Amino acid sequence: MFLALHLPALPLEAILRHHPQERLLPCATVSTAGHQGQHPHILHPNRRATSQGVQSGQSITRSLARCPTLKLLPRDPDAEIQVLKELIDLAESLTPDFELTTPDTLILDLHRTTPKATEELARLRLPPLGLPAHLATAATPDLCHLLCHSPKTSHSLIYRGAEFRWKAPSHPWHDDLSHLDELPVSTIAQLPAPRFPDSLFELLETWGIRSLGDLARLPPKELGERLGQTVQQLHSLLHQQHQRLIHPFRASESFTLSEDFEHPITQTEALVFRARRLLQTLLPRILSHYHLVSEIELLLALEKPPDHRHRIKLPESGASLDLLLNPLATHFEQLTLGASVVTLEITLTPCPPSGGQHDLFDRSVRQPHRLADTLVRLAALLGEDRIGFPQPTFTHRPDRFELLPAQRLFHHRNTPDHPTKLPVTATRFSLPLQRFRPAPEIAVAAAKSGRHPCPHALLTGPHRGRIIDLHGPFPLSGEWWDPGIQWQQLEWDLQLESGHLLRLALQAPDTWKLEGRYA
Amino acid sequence: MSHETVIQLRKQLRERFPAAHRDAPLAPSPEITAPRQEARSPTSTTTIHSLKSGFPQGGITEISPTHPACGLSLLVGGLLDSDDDCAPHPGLPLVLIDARDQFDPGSFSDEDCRKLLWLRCREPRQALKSADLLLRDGNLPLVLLDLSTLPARELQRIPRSSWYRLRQLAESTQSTLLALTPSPIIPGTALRLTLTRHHQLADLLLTRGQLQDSLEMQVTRATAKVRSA
Repeated sequence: MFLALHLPALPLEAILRHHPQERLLPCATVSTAGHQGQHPHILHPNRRATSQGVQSGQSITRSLARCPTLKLLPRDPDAEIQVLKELIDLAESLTPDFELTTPDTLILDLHRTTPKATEELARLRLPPLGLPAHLATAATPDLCHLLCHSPKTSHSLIYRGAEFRWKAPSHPWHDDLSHLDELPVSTIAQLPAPRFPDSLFELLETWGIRSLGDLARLPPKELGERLGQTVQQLHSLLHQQHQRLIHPFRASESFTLSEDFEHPITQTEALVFRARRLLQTLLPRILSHYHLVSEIELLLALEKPPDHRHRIKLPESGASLDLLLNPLATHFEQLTLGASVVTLEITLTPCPPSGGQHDLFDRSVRQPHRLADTLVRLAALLGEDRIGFPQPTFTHRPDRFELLPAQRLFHHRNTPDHPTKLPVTATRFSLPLQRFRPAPEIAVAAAKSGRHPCPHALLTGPHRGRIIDLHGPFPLSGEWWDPGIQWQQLEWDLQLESGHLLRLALQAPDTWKLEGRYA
Repeated sequence: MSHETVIQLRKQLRERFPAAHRDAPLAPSPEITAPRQEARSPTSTTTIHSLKSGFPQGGITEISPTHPACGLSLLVGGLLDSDDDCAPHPGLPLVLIDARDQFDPGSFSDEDCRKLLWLRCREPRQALKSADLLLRDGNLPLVLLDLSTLPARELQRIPRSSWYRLRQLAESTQSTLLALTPSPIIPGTALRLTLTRHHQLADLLLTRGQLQDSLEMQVTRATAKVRSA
């Protein structure tokens, strides 16, 4: 046996339950401007408003023309979420197995309890919520779902201002299908699945089938032959011959855990010990969902702000304690904080286990977690910005590049980062340059030759001597459209007597720089 | 089983599972086997192509130039621009420990840069420490330590014990440490190569491929293990 609990006009009632006297006035919730690209319109009118001609989907202007005293209320998402939470609490107190079928309908599985007792209990616990409701019981979940949408086939909790009363169904559920005569055919649109096209309702209308009772009395075989298997399935649903499994509601579990320390922590070992304790609690939660961990988010609240936040992306998802603790311990070892730690918070990001099969012959990192640990140590040694995969930027400005994080080696190696970039062929490149950073300023003996000077010898700097061969000048410039960052320089490739091949640059007005050497 | 049958079987396996044979040469090609045969002679010459898969595992290979512009950087390019099937360790990046932060990404294509994990050190001590960490880790089998721009005085300050430690680590994880130095200085290397070709300014007009083809290396030291390999 199943019990369906339906809350009609939930967005409106979620607001009105705190102002019950307004139920006596015509009021309606309205959509916000631009919602789904539409003009604001009426969403849920109450009974008073409906009686004066206000309908769902109507424009505000037309509604106010029909009912000048109509009170327009914007939707309150927080109030709706609160109602839903209370509703779920109520359902959990009645049975552990229930389904949140739609945002305003719950189906409770009463197989583990007495239906009558549960119904009575629900009738006792519903009024404190302050929401109108319909309750219906039936042998199958879909059938009770259909029944709860009509006050004629369900117990109704009706409010008049702050007062409420229960109204019994005029046609309760019965085996002789008479209760289905009260349900119009269009009620089946309330079912989450399967979806029926509007053309079906029009067709049934032309056949003179107006209620679900009429539909249930049609011969199933002929109905299936004409309208297909889905309608035949609906027919068997109405006859309680089709039973589906409900999707039990499971609250999303938190994978965050924090601990406040009575005595602030200053030692790494103590922090690692506390982190281990938190992970020991969090890991079983993850494993109970058959998930693995892909990321660890760490928050260290310090005695003096700011707090320290760090996110560790694991190279491969996993769920063993050592695997999660090692990167945390490495991070703690490299960490220098300005104050003692008063709170430790760890959040694990779950992910489903990867379903792909490893390529038998594909080369990959043997111990990715160990390598990730090494990369963290290297970043601590050199600096975060001094380790990674270089990516030349799309500019002619010398020595411009990005450094992509080293952790990308754990991702697919062949994925291009900037597929739209200009394709560069290997023929463009010659002898690689070794760049001096920063480029040293040097003195150069040069003679004026046409528009540009011609260098003859390097007088100072790491490489000095007479220039025996020279290519250039090669004028370079860029970002001329922005006076703040525009640049230009002349470049020469030259060979000294000593045999060194160098690149020399002249920046306006007369700054000579040694850019690098070809080695 | 006859010799022809074995060869036929190997050929079929290679066609069926090409990825499993990336490292193995298709046939006893003269290009690949040449350096190993030549390594028997302490001063034999070799080319970059023959060395791509020929660096000894679990040891240090030292490469030094004889002239200021011998094309030492071409080695990095040569290791990077290999096709995946010919790369020494396909799927894994080449680690470049740049002791003086002088690597120029603009001299390499995007594709090459994607295969290079670049460590920009400020001083030789950081470079040695990085090499220590990477060799100890052992997940990245080819580590390139570029000390070529360090002054000789700084290089001589590196204690010999550091090189022995790196050699031990490389041996324990079967990694290859490729050290580029301005002159031969590392003790106990498994293989020592010297670049002999001196590039002129006119060579800058040549393409990378032409320069790599013209690169000449001389094997000046090879341990008995490398010679017998």
